[in-house]
Amino acid sequence: MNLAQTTLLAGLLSTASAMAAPLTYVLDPAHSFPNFSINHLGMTSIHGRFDKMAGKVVFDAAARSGSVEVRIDTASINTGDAKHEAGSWVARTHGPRSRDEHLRSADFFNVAEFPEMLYKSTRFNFNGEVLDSIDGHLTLVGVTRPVRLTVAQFKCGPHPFYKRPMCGADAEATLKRSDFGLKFGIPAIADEVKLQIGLEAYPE
Amino acid sequence: MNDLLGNPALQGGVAPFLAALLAVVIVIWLLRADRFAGIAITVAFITAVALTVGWSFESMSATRKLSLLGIGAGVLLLAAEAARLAPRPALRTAMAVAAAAATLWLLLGVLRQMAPVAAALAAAAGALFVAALVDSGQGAPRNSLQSGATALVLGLAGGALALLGASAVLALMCISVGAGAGAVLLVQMISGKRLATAWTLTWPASAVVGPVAVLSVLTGGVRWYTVLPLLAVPWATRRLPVARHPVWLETILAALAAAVPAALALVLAWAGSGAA
Repeated sequence: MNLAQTTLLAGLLSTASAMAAPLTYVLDPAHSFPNFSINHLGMTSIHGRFDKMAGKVVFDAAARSGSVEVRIDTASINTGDAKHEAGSWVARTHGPRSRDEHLRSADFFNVAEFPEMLYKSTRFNFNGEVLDSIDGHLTLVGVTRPVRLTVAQFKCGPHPFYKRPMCGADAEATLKRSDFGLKFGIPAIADEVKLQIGLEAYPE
Repeated sequence: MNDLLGNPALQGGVAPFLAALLAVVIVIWLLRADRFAGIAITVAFITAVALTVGWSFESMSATRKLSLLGIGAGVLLLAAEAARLAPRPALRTAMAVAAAAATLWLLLGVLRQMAPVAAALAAAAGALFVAALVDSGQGAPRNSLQSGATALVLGLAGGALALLGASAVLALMCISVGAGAGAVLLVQMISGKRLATAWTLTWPASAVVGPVAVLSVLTGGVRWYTVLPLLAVPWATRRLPVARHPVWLETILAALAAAVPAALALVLAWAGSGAA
């Protein structure tokens, strides 16, 4: 093999390894939200979300591996009941403090002491070529528990308008808040919480 | 059964009251050791904690630390009464200083999230407030009705303040202290006899209500000036002339007197919450 052939071979090998290297994607905060729902009084489901989530996804399609780490601002919780205006029906019926204010208190997310919750993956589980689930740990109010996210859909490709590469995913999980010490109101407010997380991310 | 145990009225009021009543009956009538009757207030508090947040200390949040603080005050009460310690100024000051230090420990997690200057101010103000409340509560060292009324009203007022600060759990913990004090007062009213000791009666109440009031300000949006009238609750119980009233009447009068500054605190908190 002569020098030109050696150089060409080295270039092809390095290109191939670059294509197979894991890519880091940064979450788009405008299109990434953790949503949740919980049964209230056995009558209805209260839906809410955290408005601020940030993090990174590292994904290696060739190696079928990856990792995700997201931080959620617990004070950004939003269940559609932000403030009770003085004299309003909700204030007269439910008191001066809103549900979102209650959720931020020591009874629930205790944002004054724990301003963030953290999810850190330990393993990506594939079913053939398809990302099936993600195992990881959720740290909430200082308590860490394993949580498996079931991936409903995961896709990488160009943005349909701007043609930038991007990835998007929908994942779900069900957990018991009492596992994290969030016991207030059980059973009137259900122990089981359903998570639906949608995220979009762009290469770093 | 789960629905019943999950009812806040039972968690913070009924169950603690009944548990405290049983404890008082055991201490006073079975053990004939009425100087330890104040432990009934701690029993009430422990009952509320068991029914609400439980005993996991995996995450040492302020609420978890409050559970330990309430128990610690009860242990100190038992030790002080067992040693028959007199309410000398040095000992009263030591209790106030200990309460202040415990409050700083309790607030650590909150203070860490604040800017340094704000945290320092909050720490100093919070510790000073709790020290003043504990010291003020010891001001009726020989009148178990005045001390009991102080604990009763502080517990109930602290609970109302915590509710306005958006925390039902902290409210239930305070209310349980009031319920326990109510049981101690009720037994005295029924028997017509005052307890042999009084100065340690307010320790379990002050140790819980003081830090909860500070937390309500720092984390619950309650305005800082609304908790100041609580400092006058013990003082108010001592404004009544110490005449030879029947025990039941003196108890009611002491509680009513204590309710005046407590009511002022609640009116200020309600107005400041935007509900007015």
